[in-house]
Amino acid sequence: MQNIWKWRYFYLLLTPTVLYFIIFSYIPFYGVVIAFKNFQPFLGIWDSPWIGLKNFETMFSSVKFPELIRNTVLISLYRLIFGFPVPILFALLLNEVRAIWFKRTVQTITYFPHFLSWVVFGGIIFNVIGPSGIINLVLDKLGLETINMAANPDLFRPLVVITGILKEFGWAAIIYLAALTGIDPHLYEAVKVDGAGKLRQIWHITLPGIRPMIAMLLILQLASVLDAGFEQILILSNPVVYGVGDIIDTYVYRVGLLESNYGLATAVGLFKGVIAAILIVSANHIIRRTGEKSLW
Amino acid sequence: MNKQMVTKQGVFLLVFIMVVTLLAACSGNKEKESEKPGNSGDSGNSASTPAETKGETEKPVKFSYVRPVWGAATYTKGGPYEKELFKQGNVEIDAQIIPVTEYDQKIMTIISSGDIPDVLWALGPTDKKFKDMQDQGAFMKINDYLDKYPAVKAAVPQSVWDTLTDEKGDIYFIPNVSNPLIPIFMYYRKDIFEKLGIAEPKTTKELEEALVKIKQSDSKLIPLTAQDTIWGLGALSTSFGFPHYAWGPANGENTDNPQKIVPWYLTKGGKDYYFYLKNLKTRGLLDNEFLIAKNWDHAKQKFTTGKAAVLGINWGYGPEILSSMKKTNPSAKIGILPPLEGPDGTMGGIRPFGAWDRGMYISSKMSDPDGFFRFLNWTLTDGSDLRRYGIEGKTYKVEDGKKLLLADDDREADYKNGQIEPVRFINPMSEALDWESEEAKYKGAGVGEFFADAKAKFDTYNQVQYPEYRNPTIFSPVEIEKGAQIYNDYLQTVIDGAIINDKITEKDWDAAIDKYLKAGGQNIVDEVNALQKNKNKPKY
Repeated sequence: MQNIWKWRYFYLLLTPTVLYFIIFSYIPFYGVVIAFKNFQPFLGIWDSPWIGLKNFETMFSSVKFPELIRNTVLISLYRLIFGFPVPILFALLLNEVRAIWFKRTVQTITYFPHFLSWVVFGGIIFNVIGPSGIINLVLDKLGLETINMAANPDLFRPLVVITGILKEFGWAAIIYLAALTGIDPHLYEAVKVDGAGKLRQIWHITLPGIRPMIAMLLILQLASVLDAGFEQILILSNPVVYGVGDIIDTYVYRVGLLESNYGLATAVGLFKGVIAAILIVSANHIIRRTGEKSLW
Repeated sequence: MNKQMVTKQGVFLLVFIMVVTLLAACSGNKEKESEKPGNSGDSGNSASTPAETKGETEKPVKFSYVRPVWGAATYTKGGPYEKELFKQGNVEIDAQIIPVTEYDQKIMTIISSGDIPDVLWALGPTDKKFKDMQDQGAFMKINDYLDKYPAVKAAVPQSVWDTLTDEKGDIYFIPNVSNPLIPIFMYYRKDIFEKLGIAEPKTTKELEEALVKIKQSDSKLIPLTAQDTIWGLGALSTSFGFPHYAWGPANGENTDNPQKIVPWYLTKGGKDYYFYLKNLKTRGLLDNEFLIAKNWDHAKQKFTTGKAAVLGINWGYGPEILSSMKKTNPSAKIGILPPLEGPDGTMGGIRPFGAWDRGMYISSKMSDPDGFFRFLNWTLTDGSDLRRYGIEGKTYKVEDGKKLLLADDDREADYKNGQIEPVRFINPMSEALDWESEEAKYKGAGVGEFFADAKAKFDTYNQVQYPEYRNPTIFSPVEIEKGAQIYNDYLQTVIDGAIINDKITEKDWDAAIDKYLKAGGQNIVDEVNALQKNKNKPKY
């Protein structure tokens, strides 16, 4: 108690943050009961009738469920494998640039797509890869056969991963660039004295310097493996690619939200939350066992 | 002031700002009910008398309004047309628009919050979701207002009000009535057909042959395109003898008095039509952006810019298409294909729409419903001219004493449809098909010479009808419970993808239908047939 009084100003400073999380993160947990109800928005949560596990049964009994899980996990894994290293590499490259004007110009250009909504960015993508898009225009002018990339199931997942990387890699690199600035410059001087070239400096100083940050972001990304990018997929997909592009969220949107079956949407949200919690705890545990700095 | 004191004050100030910000974030942005302008103190459950409302007209009626737009979603608040409407109608509308292709999805997301605008467009009580919301008390009962404001009541035929009346005798929904007999036309480039020696097609087979010739003559020209979704090829669908997106007679049933009705995808015609289109698509005769392009207008643009030879589109776009074409390519000759005879000799015609296309609900929490009905009544009486024609010199011109609407291209930006449609409400049924007004549209767009042909084709198309046979107020319990899920699980990929996905075959279609029926689809069909006693062909 004495300690609390001693540090009262720090506790006072902490209070709004604690309040914030209570109000916006913990009190809304009450809404989880919607997963067990036939929720009717104008009756309210409490007055809507209880229906037990029916919403979960609806989801798990869907013949599409295995396909939805497969698509969701595959797209997320592809993002992880191909997308996760890109901002790290980009930050490393940008860190080596000495011309400040060039560095800033590149940073601005690469950040920019992050601020565009998927509706706008998706429209741009469609104008590039669509049947009448720029790529096909060029192919046509060159006398080559055109490719309908927007409606090709074999290309849809790569398209989702690549466009996702293009939109976000600049923004995602910020955190690594910030971590890079925290590396002690003396370490570089020391390793230079030992005769290390650029690649050796990156390998022995830079990467270990940002390794805790990489580990932390990896844990966080693993937690969202069941979020394969709802908005992006909704914008880019079309009936031809449903088989490879329909994910849990797009299905819930159609069967849950559009049919005002909000209980189903909440049940799936709860299911995804539980899986995310398991994944984040497991990943944190593994990373801690390997000696890296973990989230807790 | 010592440093410690400054630090303490800084901490207090910071915490104060953070808490205030937090509270501000938690609070709603709705004005207090009592502060809402136009609040007459009416609880919304009973209408005040006309005499009482006379004194209130000085205070503008304010309400929020969400509606779909069929035209360009380019609305900017505060435009001159809007100002004129607000001034004349003594109203202030906080309008929000959603493109019609996304409307049904987005309005459900808005509704899920439980906080709905004062007036919103919706599908109405023939959709079970909205019937449930009515029953939950989300919307206002309007019986008293209909009695009080006769122009609103008279705008809708009594038969439609009867359909919308619930089991307790209450009405909640104002339908956007329209003439159900609206054909989908197929416009074609007569000059190209003539140049290639192609006679006007009379059958689907002849159309196919014509498209092949066009493709062979110019590989860059798109032989056939169609507006937005598959509705754009509605004329073609009728040649296969089934009512698209509706329930109709089961295979082999009498079409006038069927004993069994089924959804269109269970009919032979439905399947044949989809695979006819698939065949056209595979051979490069159908636009390769069909069902893929993201912009609503792509087909119309292709046709009016000379990139496509045949365009399927609602007949209402006629003046706009012909007027654009006249400007971009004055030498182009445009024709309208007649209804085509299908592969098995079935004659094409129209698939009548419903008696209304969406409509309006009023939130049960609306503070001044009487003011809204007063305004709506005004749009149908004293404000009728402004509603129908707009502002002289800006949206219409007068020739020989007749008001001719200007084509959108001929209007200033502030008076284009994109600025007017967002603050439109309902039109009375009496105006749904007014030939004088239709002719004025053609003349106003500078294409009056096309009107006679359009009207003649309109009549020809209307001779054969493929209507919805299902009574929209009948709900199948299985359909309510799992209809959406089993459709999504078994049919959606196949139906949505059949035309454009090369990998989907007729075998896949049959297998999907089989699984759907076993999963509950058959129960839905049986229940609807058991509940709906009268299955006779509806007459329009």
